[in-house]
Amino acid sequence: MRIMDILVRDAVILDVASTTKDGVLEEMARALASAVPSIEPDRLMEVLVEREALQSTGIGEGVAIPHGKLPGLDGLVAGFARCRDGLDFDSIDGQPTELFFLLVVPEHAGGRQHLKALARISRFCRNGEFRKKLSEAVDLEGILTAIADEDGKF
Amino acid sequence: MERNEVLIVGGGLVGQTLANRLSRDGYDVTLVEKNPDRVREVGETLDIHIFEGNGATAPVLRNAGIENVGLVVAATESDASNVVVGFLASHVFNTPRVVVRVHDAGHEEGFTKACQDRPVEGVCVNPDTASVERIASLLEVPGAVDVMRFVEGNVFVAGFRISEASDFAGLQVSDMKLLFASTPTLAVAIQRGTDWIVPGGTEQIHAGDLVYFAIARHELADVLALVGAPPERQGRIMVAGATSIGLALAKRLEERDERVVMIEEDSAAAQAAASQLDHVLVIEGRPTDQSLLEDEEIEQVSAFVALTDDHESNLVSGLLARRLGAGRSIVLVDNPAMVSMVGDIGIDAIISPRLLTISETIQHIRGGGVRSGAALLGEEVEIIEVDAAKDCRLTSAPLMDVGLPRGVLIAALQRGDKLLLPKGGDQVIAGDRLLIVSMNQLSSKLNEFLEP
Repeated sequence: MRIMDILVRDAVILDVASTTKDGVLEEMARALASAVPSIEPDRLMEVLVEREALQSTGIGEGVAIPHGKLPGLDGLVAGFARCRDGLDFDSIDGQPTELFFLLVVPEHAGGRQHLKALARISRFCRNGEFRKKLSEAVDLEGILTAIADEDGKF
Repeated sequence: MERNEVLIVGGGLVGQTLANRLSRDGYDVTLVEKNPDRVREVGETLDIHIFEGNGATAPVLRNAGIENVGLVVAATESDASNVVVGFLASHVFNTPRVVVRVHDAGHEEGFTKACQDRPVEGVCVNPDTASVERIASLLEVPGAVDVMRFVEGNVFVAGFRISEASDFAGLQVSDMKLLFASTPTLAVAIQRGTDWIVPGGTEQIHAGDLVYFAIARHELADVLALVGAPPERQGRIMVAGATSIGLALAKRLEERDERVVMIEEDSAAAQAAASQLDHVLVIEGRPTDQSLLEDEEIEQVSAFVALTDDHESNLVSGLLARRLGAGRSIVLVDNPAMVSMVGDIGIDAIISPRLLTISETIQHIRGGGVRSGAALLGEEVEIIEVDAAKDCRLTSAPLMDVGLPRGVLIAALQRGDKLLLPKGGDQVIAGDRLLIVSMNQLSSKLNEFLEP
């Protein structure tokens, strides 16, 4: 599975306006919902907040991967956002979070695709070069190229 | 343990390894061995008391100091001698704990029953039973090199070689908490080259690592998908060797309605096997015979299990079967040098009765607190399942404040019917069932946390 195949371009936010955890989740949920009509933004927000309550999806090194399942979706979809100054996302290493990948999967898709996509995004983000490219990208193309490059590796 | 002295009878591989382990853990170990050459050999390599003599006799045991020890382990190569040692210890010298290695189920029954009415704890460790158990677990988990079950079968600990294509390659251990939030599915030990690690959250998993995962039973298929394990192949299981382990495994598989073919070189043994097994096809022939394997459609076989008494031949037939298309090769090997090289040469999994015996013995040595199990990974990492004792140090504060050393990991906690991965803020309470993974050299330190 390639992340480029599930990434919704209109749900890539180069620089978020929000400075809080809920704010950035909300902004990403709305962006994804306006690009994918079958997503109801408030419902998505609920699912994401519920998942964060279980344990923060801030995996450290400035990255968070909020995710959740929704009914009525045709396939996996992903969004991206960046907060250059970093914000407090209750990340496991306690550091501010700068890069956000949002992953939404159909409720009845079975767990495997969901897990494989999560694992793949985590794997990408454990690569410091990749994080650097995302941080330094000056436009949408920069973000997409970085992800496509990583997708090509394995 | 109140009495820290241990007497081990039998200085073979099992006795030596145990003696080494226990003396490293701070026990005062005496080894009794009758073969003078071996006494010399052990004396040169291990820093323990060695007593030359036949341990199956009362005077020798007395002179070796049995009256002062808290534990006797009978680990000679002879079942009969071990049972005699066991009887002397439990019935003549009233040793509080006695562990006896026996292969024969009849000896096992006799000794266990004889100890029932005694004020001592007498247990048998049967390498054959332990081996069959391990093989049966392995056959349930495709792609694993090693599989153990804990917490009443609710948690598997399974080792997988991680390839570049695996979804785990490049992940940090803590990323598994993203994938499996709040369930005890986590990487608990990593072998990288010859080094073993009980990883912290920031440890990265690399391609080529052998990673042991604790896996909540209902998440086994998820982990297999992420590992990239080959899909389970339907097909016959081929067992080479009508040895006691081979026969016991065939019977076990027969009960599970598996289709089994057995290959045995010795004509009489093959006939005896055929008469004991109802649904197993027994073929007389050499497991290392390529044309025989081809005739038996080895390429359709889901798993080839080599269990003859000739361990080098097991390696050869295992490699051959794999090359000819068998889904998986599981091979019985007991020589430590061979055990360590197996991963590099294309055998999928090995069974070492010696290591299994040592694991089980240690489990009994750990005493009443340890429940269903203890296991050793490559003699470096220990996994124990234990009920938290009342007023032990582990229950004194939330986990993050208890001060467990690095290299000790609480991999799972079962409280009532709830199974979870404990977090730093959680506090263990008496009666919790815990699965603990630790580096071997920390086991005596770990004891300080577990003892009341």
